[in-house]
Formats: sequence, structure tokens, C-alpha cells
Amino acid sequence: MSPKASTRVARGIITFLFIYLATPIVVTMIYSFSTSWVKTILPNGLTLKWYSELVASPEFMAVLLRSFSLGLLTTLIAMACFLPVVFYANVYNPQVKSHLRFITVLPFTIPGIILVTGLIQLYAELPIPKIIILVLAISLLSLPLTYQALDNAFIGRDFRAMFEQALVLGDSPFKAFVKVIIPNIRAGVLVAMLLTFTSAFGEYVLTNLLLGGNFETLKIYMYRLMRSNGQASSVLTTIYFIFLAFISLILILIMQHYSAPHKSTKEGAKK
Amino acid sequence: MKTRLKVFFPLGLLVVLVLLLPITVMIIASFQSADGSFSLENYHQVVSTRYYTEAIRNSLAISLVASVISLIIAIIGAWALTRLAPKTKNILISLFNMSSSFAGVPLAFSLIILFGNAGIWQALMTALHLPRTFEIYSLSGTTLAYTFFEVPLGIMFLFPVFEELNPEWKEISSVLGAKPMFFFKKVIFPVVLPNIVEVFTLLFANAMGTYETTFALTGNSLVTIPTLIGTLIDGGLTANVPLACTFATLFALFMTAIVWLGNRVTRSKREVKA
Amino acid sequence: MQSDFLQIQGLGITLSGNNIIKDMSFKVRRNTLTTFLGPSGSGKTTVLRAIAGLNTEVSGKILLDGEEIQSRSANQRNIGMVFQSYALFPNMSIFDNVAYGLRVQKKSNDVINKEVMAMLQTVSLTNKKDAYPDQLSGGQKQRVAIARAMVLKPKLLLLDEPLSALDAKIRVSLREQIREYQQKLGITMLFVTHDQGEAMAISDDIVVMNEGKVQQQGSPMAIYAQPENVFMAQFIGNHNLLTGTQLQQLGLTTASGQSLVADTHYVVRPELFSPEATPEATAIAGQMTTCSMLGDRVQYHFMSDAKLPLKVELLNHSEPLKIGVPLTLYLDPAAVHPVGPANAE
Repeated sequence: MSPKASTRVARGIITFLFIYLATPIVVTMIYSFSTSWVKTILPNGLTLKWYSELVASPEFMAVLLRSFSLGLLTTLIAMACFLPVVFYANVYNPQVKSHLRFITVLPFTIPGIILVTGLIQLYAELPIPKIIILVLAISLLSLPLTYQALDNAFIGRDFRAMFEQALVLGDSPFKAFVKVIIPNIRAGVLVAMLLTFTSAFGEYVLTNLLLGGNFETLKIYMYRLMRSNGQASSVLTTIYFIFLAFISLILILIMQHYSAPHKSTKEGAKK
Repeated sequence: MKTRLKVFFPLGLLVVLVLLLPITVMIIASFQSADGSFSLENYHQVVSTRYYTEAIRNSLAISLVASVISLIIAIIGAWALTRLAPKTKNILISLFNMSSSFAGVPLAFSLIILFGNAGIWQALMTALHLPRTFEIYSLSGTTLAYTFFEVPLGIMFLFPVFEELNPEWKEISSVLGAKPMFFFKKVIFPVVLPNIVEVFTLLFANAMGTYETTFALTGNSLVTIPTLIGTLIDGGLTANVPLACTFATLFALFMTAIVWLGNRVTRSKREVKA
Repeated sequence: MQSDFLQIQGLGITLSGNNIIKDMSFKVRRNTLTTFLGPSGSGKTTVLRAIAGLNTEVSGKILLDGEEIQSRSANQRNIGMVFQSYALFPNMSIFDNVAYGLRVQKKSNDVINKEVMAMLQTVSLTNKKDAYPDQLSGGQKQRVAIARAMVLKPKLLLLDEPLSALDAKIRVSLREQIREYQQKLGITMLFVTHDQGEAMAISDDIVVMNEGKVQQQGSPMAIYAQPENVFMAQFIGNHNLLTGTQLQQLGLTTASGQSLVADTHYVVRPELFSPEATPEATAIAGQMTTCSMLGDRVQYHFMSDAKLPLKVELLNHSEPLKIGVPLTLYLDPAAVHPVGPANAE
């Protein structure tokens, strides 16, 4: 196979995959604009009615607010837990990283549905607000994502030398961290925060089983609508999809903006 | 030493509070009988009750089929991705990432619109006077649903592996007179195989732990280990948290073993290389 | 005392449980450029980091200008350091990078401006003061890093392989510039490198290190001409390493007329052979087997009639010697230098 032909085949495969993965999403979007679409190949007509209905409902705003707060709290906790550790591992002691490897497979060995049994058994009778346990548990399950994204922020530059240079020039460790490390990992930290936020924003398993549906977040609301009002649910799904697309766009822009100048320093950073 | 303690304190606290303690309690509770005494009764129930063994069989069947199919598609997809321009690659990776976070309730709902009883697929079949061939709420329908997040996940795991293959190897090999097939068998396959095994274990584990999609798609009509655990926790009168803990303990044990094995395959290969 | 400016006494370093450096001692004289030379992995950088205060588990004494500094933290030692990877702060302009240390010391803006500009002048980068590190070439970046360290007028400037990430040509020109700054500003420098040519070219003193031990300290000339052991003889320069027995077979003696020791090694530098006879020289008969052109010199392999191969280098100023033709080479006994028993191999 000549390189040109194989590139053409590759494009074909990716296009096929793209259609395959996008079809359900596209169908849901069309459904959200349809007057009705039951047992027919094409919808009967198009309308924006379902959008105005959903957005106007008081439930919708309350649900968004709940999911937003959950996402924000989780992001803050995940950052507080991992930023110091990832910094320490990259600047002081790279060997720590091999011990942190277990975290990356955690969601596979102990997914939410498994963890929730222990959480209920342990905390059901204790007088601790379940919402705190929920936020902590979501933070724990988002750690692999947070960890990898933060760790990526330290690739490409010799942060260890930069930090030590600041010390040698007379700064205290804390000031060196603020002046020299933080400004140069901003983009990576932002990516990590966005990814963590997104995963917490769309959390379902823990929220549903731990709080028994009393705390109605986006996905729980979506599930309830799905069983009662298909049209409204498709609107919510579309909005959720647009939210995900928007976050992806921001991520792409950040990566494109920050990845270019890094390359020139890669060589110098090799040790 | 003092800085080290401070640095690890928040993470350590989190791990103790919502991982180590709950997991310990989970394991202890799995040995707890209805009256609270220590017994193996729960474990006995898991293997002897038909409904429970069915859940285990369903979980294994769906996960195995879904992860094998997804792995094959992901291998082809990841290869195709390496052939594209760098900028396109980055955008596509973000898109795959996004579509894997679309899993769960939104995915289940989309598939119901597409393939459900009142969905477009059925309308199409009726219009063409074809028999109803495909049922999204069934075992095979659920398997199909899993591929929608397993394929992008597999591509994201495999892409970096394929991207790292050195194009000079192929050039050297053909300079040395080897045919492409020989090169594939002797170089590419041995290098990539351990990674494929590892990715397979992760995809399999991910499918085994899937609750949201299955539950949203089939309610409780299709029983798998995760939906069963969900029912045992959430099921009002039939709730039995210790039994849920038993399932969870078995699950965690089994998955840790599998993921550990998958990890070992890649690691031992790497050590030989070094 | 000039010779006591930096004293390392009985230094021991433990890194993640491994005792890497044991009981190491050496000295650096004031206002000199001393090179710390050794093969990769010999522990040079570790020692340098210990002097800067960047290793935590250190035993022994480090004296700088008569003061013990080993228990001070890195930001209180008044030592400058230049890293291999430049370690410029990418979020700051070149000016801000150089001004960093002065700002930490809370100097006034006027002072900062004056001193930074003077320093940028010294390293010829005034026109880049508003640029950012990612816009500079490797050589320029390293000059910024050096300026950033020198502007604080540190008692001692440590340079950790500052040239090894650069291209060969820039490497040579920058090492001459570093030597120039050192002499102009009167800074004491300790320069780590694995490149013996670099060490020879710029140093007042060389400390050679291998496997965590100091092998020899001395001027470049002394290090080259009087290696103290087999490692030194092999590490620095081209060499013929011969045992006493082999020298006897060639009919050679040592300068002082001392008898040769059979199992001791002796080093003979290849450029000390001559095709012309002198009164003191010993004649060695044989023939050239190969010849390779090095530009300014020609390198030959010589097979003596006693069947001992020798490396010979001659200046490239006349007709090259013929290959495979019997001829006689001459060697002054002063060129035979004993380096001790053959245990290092």
C-alpha cells in the first residue's frame, strides 16, 4: 500500500468512525427540534417549543446550579489534593510517581458502583451530611483524570532546575513556587480543572445511589425526563452535548495556544 | 520529611476517608449474615442463586463481546488516526474524549430514539416491510451500546502506543530486505501486543463496571453485576447492602487481579527491553 | 589564604538511601576557574548540587571563604548556579530573568536597572532585554542564565555542564566567553564537564573525579603530563600504556635512570616520539602500519621490531612517513611517566 493510498484508507476509516459515534448525538439533536417523531423515518415538523419550555422551567435552573456547585467543589478538592503531590513528584522526588501509578487504574478496579456499597455501609448511619461524602467520593474517582492532566503540565520544561535556580537566587521555596512554577503550569492546571469539572458535572452513579435521587443533578434530571417526557429530555441531552463540545473547544484552543513554544525548550530539558 | 507529610496530607486524608475505610467496611460487611453475625452465607447465595449467577453470566458475556469488538475497531481507528495531519489528530482526540464522556444516560436515551420501540430504526424496518431484527433493550443491544464509549476509550489508550512506533524501523527493515508482512510479524506485533493486552483488560474492566448506561437503557430488566448491586442498595424492600458488598468485594478482587495481570504483561516486556 | 577559598572536607552524600559520595575532599583557589571533570555518572553534578545546597543528606564540611556553609539552605549561601537546561523562567522577559535575584534582595529599581543593563552589556544581549526565553537560541539562553547568576556577584559560581546542550561551534565560543567573564569580573567558578578538551582549554585547575572519588587535582599541564594513576592516563588525552616489561623489550629507560618495575604501568604520549635523533633519545626500530590524517597532526600506528604496537602522532609539516618501510623512531626517556600498578582496569 503506497503512503498516499493508506492515508486515503485512514481518512475513510476515521470518517466512518465519526459517523458511527456521532449518529446517536445528531439524531437526538434533531429530535429536540421536532414537533413529534414517533414511528416515522423523518420528524413531522420542526419547532423550538421544547427548548423554551425546558429553559423556562424552574427545575432546570435548580438542576444546573446543583451540578455546577458539585463540579466546582470537586474541582477545588481534587486540586488541593493533587497539585502539591504532582509538584512534589516532579520537582523534588520523581520516584514518587511510580507509587502513584495505582491511582490511574483505580476507576477500573473500583468503579463508582463498587465504591458506593462501602460508602453506604460505612456512612449511612453516621451523622455526617451525605453531600460531603458525595463530593469527596467524586473527587476521589476523578483523581486519575486530574492527576494525568496535572502531570502533563510538567512535561516539556525542566521545572526542577527552574525551581532550584529560584532557590539559589535567594527565594524561599514558597515564593519560588508562586513566581516560577505556577505561571508556567497555568495552562495545564486549567486543563486539569476543566476535565475534573466536566466529569463531576455529569456524575450519575454515586449521586443517585448515595443520595437516593434526593439531590437532583443534571444526569438524574435527565433520566427522570427521559422516562416521562422524551422531547424535554432530548433538549437537555442536546444542551449537555453542547456544553461538552464547548469544553472540548476550549481544551483544543488551550492546547494549540500553549503547545507551540514548548517544543523549542524540549531539548534543553532533557537530562 | 516534614514537607513530604504536608504535601501528601490532603490526598492521604481523601484516600483514607472515601477509599480505604469504605473498602475495608465493604469487605467486612460482605461476611455479615442477616442477623449481623459472621458467615459465608452471602457468598453461598451469590453462587447458588440462579438470578445472581445470571447477572454474573450477563456481565461477563456483554463485557467480553463488547471489549473484543471495541478493541478491534479501536486498533483500526488508532492506526488510521496516526496517518492524519497533527492538527487533525489533536482535534479528533478531543472529540473522541468528548464522545466517551457522552456515555451513560445521554447515550442510552439517544440509542432509544434511534433503535427503541418507537424509534427511527423500527420505523425504517416497518416501512420496508422487514421483520424486527434488533432489540436495543436486549443483551446484544446493550453490547452495541457499550461499543459507543469503549471504542473511543480504546483509541485514546492505543493512539499514543502506535504514535511511538518508530517509522525508521520500517525503513531499516525494508533496507534489510524484509517484506512488510515479515516486518509486521517480527517487529510491530511483538512491540504492540503487550499494550493491546493491557488495553483489553482496561476495556473489559470498564465494561464490567458500567452501571449508568445499562440501567438507563434497560431499567432493571437486564441484570448485570452493577445493576444488581444498584438494586440491592436502592431496592426498598429487597434492599440488602451486605449482599451488595459481597458482590462488590468479589468484583473488586477479580478486577484488581485482571488489571494487575494486564499491567504485568506490559511491564515485564518493558523490563526485557531495558 | 588564597588556596582556601572553597574547601570540601570529608564530604559524604546520600541520595535516596544510596551513599553516592564518601569522604571527598578538594579545594578551589580564589578567582580561578576550576573544572570538575569526570565521565558521565561519576557524581560530579551531585557534588555541585551539594555545594549549592540542593541535596539534603550531606555530611562533612563545606567552607566558603572561611565560613562553614553546609548547614545553610540554598537561598542563603550566596552561591550562583548555572544549569545545563538553562532553567530560564519562560514567563519572564530576559530583563526580568536577570533582575530576579536583585528583586529578591529588594534592591531599588534604579539599582536593578543599572546592574541588569550592565550585565546584559557584558554578555552582549542588551538588544534582547524585552525578548522571552523561548525566542532565544540555546547559546543566548545560556548567556542569560550566566548573566542572571553573575549579576548577584556571588562568592562562587557553579556551572553544571553549561555547554553540553549546545552545538559544537557555539560550545567553543561560549566557553571562551565564560573564561573571559571570569577573568574580567574576578569571579571564582567551579565548572562541571565531561569534556576533557573543554576542561583543558579554560581551566586554571582541574579536579578529575571518577566513581565518587577525586582521582587527581592540578593544572591542566600537570594533569596531562603527570597522570597519577592508570585511570588518569587513560582518561586524559591519547596514550600508550605500557608495562615495565614491555618498555624493557623496547630498550627504554626512565629519565632518572631508575630501573623499570615489571608490573608497573607507564604512559607515553604519542606526540613525544620523533623521527629525528637527539643525544638523550633512545632509538626504536620498526615500521608504520597505518596512517590517518587529523589535520594539524598525522596519527600512525607503529609496529616495533619487538612486536609491540605503539600510537604515534607527528605534526603535519613535512612529507608523511612511508607505510611498511623500516624506520627508526626516537623517544626521550623523560617522556616515560610511571602511573602505578595495573589495578584500575
